[in-house]
Formats: sequence, C-alpha cells, structure tokens
Amino acid sequence: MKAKKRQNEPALVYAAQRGDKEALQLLLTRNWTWLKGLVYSIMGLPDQIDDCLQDICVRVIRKIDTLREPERFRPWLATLARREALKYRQHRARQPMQLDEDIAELSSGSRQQSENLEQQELCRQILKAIRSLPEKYRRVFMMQHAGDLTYGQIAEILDVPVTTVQIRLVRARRMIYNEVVNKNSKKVWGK
Amino acid sequence: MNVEMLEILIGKYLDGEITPSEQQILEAELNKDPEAEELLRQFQDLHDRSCEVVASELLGQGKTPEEIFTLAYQRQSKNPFHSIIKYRGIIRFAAGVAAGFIIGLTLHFVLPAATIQNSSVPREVFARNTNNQESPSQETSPQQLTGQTGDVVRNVDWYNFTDEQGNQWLIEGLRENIVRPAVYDGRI
Repeated sequence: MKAKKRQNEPALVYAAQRGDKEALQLLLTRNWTWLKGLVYSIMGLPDQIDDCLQDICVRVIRKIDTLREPERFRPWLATLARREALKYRQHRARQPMQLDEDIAELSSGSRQQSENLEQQELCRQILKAIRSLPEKYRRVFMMQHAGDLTYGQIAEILDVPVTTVQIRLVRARRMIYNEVVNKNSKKVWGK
Repeated sequence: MNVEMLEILIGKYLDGEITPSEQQILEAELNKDPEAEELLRQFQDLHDRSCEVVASELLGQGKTPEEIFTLAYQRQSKNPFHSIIKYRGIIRFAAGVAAGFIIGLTLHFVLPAATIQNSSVPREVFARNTNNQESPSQETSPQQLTGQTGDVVRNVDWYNFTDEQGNQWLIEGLRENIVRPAVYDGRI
C-alpha cells in the first residue's frame, strides 16, 4: 500500500503543478503526520504548529511549480517545512515563555488516555524527555513515531544515510530511557 | 554482543525493520542473556508509551489537515499580487534593463553640454599671452629649434591661472607649426 502511494506521488506532483487543487491537497494530507512531527521537533512545543503548517501549505501552493524533480517531493517539502519552523522558533525565542506551565497544560492531552496517575506521570516524563532531546535525535524520533515511516523514508526525507537514522533512533531511545529510569529507579516499567 | 549492537537490533525489531537473519541473532542473544530479555521488555514498553504520547501530543490536537489546507488555499487566493510575486525576478530584470537604457540615453545627450556650461572655473582667472606672435626672425632661426643642450624646443602658448587658494600656475599649450620656446620669467 505504501509502495503504491509512493508510485502515485510524482503523478500527483505533476497534477498539482498544472493547478489541480485536489492533487495538491492529497499530497499534503498523505505526508501530514511526519510533517507535523518534523515541525514539532524543530519548534519544540505544539503551540503555533497549526499556524506554521498553514504557512508551509501556502509556500507549497506557491512554489510547487518550481519543483523540478517530482519524485523528490518529500525532501523538498521537508526543507521547506524546516525553514518555516525555524522562522517560527526564532520568532518565539524573542518572546518570554514559561515551560513548566506549558508542559502541565500539554500533558492534559495524554491525561485523557491514561488510566491512572502513575501512568500520567510516566507519560509526562516521557514527553519531557522527548522535548529535552537534542534536535537531530528528536527530529528522527518524532518522524518515526508520528509518521509511521521506514528508516529508508526518513533517511530520504532528511537526506542522511539509513545507518545515521538507525543510530540516532537508538541513541534517542537510550536518552529517553535514561532520563525516565533515573527519576523512577527500576519501577518505571513495572505493571 | 555489545550493548549498542543489542540496542540497534532491539530498535529495529520494535520499528519493524529487522531482517530474518538479524532476528535470529537477536533471539539467540535473548535466550542466552536474561538481562537482554529484560532490556527488550523495557524498551518495548517505552516504545508503546512513546507512541501514545506522540499521538496525543500531535495527532489529537489542533485543526485537521483539510481545514489547514483550505485556510491556506483561501489565503493564497486572496493575494492579488501573487502573479506579480511569482514573476518578480523577470520583472526586476526588465525594469533594471529599461532604467539603465533611459539613464544611458539621458547621459549621452545631456552630459557634454552640461559639462561645458557648468564649468566651475571662472574665465577671468585665465590670462592669455595675447602677445605671443611669432616673429619672422625667431621663426626662421635654426637655434630656436634646438636648445643649447641639443633638446628639441617646442613652440607653446602659455597661460597664467589663479586657483581658488590664490596659487598661480603657468600652463603651457603646444602650438602647431610655430617654433617658439616657452619662457618662464620667475615671477610666479
């Protein structure tokens, strides 16, 4: 199914370049989850993500006809998204921010899914650990967990070797594990 | 097997990227080492919870992709300058060429006349040697054509020029077909 989607992507790009609005929408919605994960990993917080994604959509609509290699739509989209997200991050860096309040607020989403307080706390710690990852590890981690992408696809999008993706994922996992285990000793994973 | 290699294999297993041969190696390691088995269990739990956290953090919040795309498309359609912005490189280039052409033409027609008219040097500061008339004796004199040291002597007009600071200058200009030396009398 994934392969079929991939085969259609250049055709969709051609159609979008000819002004087909539905093709453009389909292109973006198919790549939405990893795109959102990428933007989140750069911005670090979920606020303003929708605004940033909207700006990315506007840029894609304006620039799609400049894409010369339709088969490289994903790396192109990732580059464009990275630039926009960095702009937002720089803009936000100039404004004062309270991280603790933000995390407490954001954990409410996972609170709904968690069944008890211990699990809520664990999810909150994992979220905090993900946010504290260095950006290059967070980017790979978020794309893998949000976008359901293979290592090869992540490598293609980020324009890095597959082995780099593997190593970054392993290290990201280890960093999160250490962060959470250090705070909860060995009982963290007990059920 | 070292820990990093084990973690790579566990990671590939959790992400569904493990090959059959790698899975055999991993299973052998898990059977041999209980700590490796415990590590796999813990990483599996971390992986599951991470997926939950990421899903609730990203996918359960905000607008849908369709809503965002529609908003972006409307925003884009409302921009009347989009076609201008799209071709702004070509427009800039054409405007630059046109401006250069106009400026060049203007300079071509205006500048020579302006240079003569706007000469900042007042005419009265020149004092021309109006008595520089050639005498027949000098004109025909062979000694005047060459100096005492054998240098060729050229006939010139000369001018006195006083600049804005009050300095006086002797300016010599060659005259055609008249042999007469310039003379500096040492008074300036």
